Amino acid sequence: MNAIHWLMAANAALWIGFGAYLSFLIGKQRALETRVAQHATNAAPEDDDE
Amino acid sequence: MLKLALALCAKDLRLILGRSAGLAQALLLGLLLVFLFSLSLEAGDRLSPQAAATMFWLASAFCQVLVFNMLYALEEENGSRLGLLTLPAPPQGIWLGKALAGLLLLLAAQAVFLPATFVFLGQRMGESLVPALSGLLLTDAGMAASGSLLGALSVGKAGRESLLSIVLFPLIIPLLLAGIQLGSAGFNPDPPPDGSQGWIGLAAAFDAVFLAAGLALFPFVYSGED
Amino acid sequence: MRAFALLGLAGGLLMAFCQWLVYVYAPVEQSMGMVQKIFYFHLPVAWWCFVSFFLSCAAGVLWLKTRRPKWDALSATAVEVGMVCATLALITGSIWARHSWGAWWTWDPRLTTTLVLWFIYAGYLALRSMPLPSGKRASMCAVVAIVGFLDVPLVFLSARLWRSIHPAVFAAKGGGLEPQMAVAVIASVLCFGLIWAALIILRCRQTLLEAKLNEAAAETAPDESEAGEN
Repeated sequence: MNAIHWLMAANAALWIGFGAYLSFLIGKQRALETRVAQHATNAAPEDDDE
Repeated sequence: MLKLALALCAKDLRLILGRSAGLAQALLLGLLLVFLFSLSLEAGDRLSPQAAATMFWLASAFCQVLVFNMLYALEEENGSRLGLLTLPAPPQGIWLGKALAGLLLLLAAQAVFLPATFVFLGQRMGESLVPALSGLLLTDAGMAASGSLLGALSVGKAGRESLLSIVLFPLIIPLLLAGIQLGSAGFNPDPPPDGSQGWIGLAAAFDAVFLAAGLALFPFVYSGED
Repeated sequence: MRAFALLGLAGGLLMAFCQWLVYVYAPVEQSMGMVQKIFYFHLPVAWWCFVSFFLSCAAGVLWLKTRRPKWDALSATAVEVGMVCATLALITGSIWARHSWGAWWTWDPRLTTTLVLWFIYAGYLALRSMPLPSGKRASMCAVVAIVGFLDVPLVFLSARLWRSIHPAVFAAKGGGLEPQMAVAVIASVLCFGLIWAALIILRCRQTLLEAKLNEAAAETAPDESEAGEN
């Protein structure tokens, strides 16, 4: 492996790392959206009863 | 605050040393660690002073975790944590009392680890005993202060005891490095090349930081909530 | 909603410009060659890692003083993003060391400090994941964040003392920076900073929303059990 390969490996590690964290954030966002929707659904029937 | 600390320390020591198990568990763990590590040596081999000092302090660190888990579990058994907190004294007195008790128990355990290190890891007494012994005391003081502050983390529901080691060990790394360097000077027949002032200063600085942190932050860690 | 999107976009655009600065504008270093270019993103990532942990400590102090949920959320977010930056700093630092000096790990005081911090805040994240009442968990985490950051100078000093006794086979990064290199480094630090800020804002919002949902769920649960009895 010459210098360019090491440089590319370091770059790859950096962007894979950031990409992985972004994927984690996207997953969290989806889970939160599901919970918000559930919460809204749970709140709605109680309003209907009143 | 001092009155509470001394009374609490005396009470805890009586409880722990009075029981048959008491300190035995922490002591045995440390001894086992030293002995198991000696298996890495060939017959008649001698370990380097630095490696021996490292094993001694590792055994002490694991002993510290068990000791502080034990000290804080005393109030959990009877649900008397709230009683302790409602005493008319600053809660920092609890931190100081537990730290004092932990320090004395740790010293007692190390009184056994040190001969074990000489025997199993093939060490001899070195030249620089004064820096080594003052290093031991300073490092133990730092371990007591930090152990008492963070030991309160493991209080409450079960499963949190292992958390103490994960949180505490990285924090005490500077202290352990100082202890190891000063300890290896104690095992080494040659005098240390650079002298020990730097390490003693570092251990003293660590003690000062954790003393201040304990006084300031303890009430937030040890409260009535579960 | 717009703040973090703008920051992210600006960061991305500046990053494109930085690529030109790093690979074309800045000269190739004489002794280390092309691999030295790793420095232009290793240093910003390490810098923002330390800033994150400082932010976490400050937010922890503010939580302990005011008990407002936003400070706890900021503290936890800063630790998370800081851990990402620390991991990347350690990996890029190791790759650089492996090529330059043939060893994956050199006991360089700065890298050693970063590794110890990584362990300290990994413990923070473990504590954070424990099922505790939110107020108590927040207080404990704040204390760990504060004590962890107070430990930084001690760790650095001890690593340096340790290294001076075991003299390094490897030479330190010597020499000053040429002006073009300095420009590239400053631009890199700024562009990573924009991305860092965007991540912090986004994750902090998520954490706060999650906390509110948990609170709402805890409130409705006793109501539902009363309804069941009726």
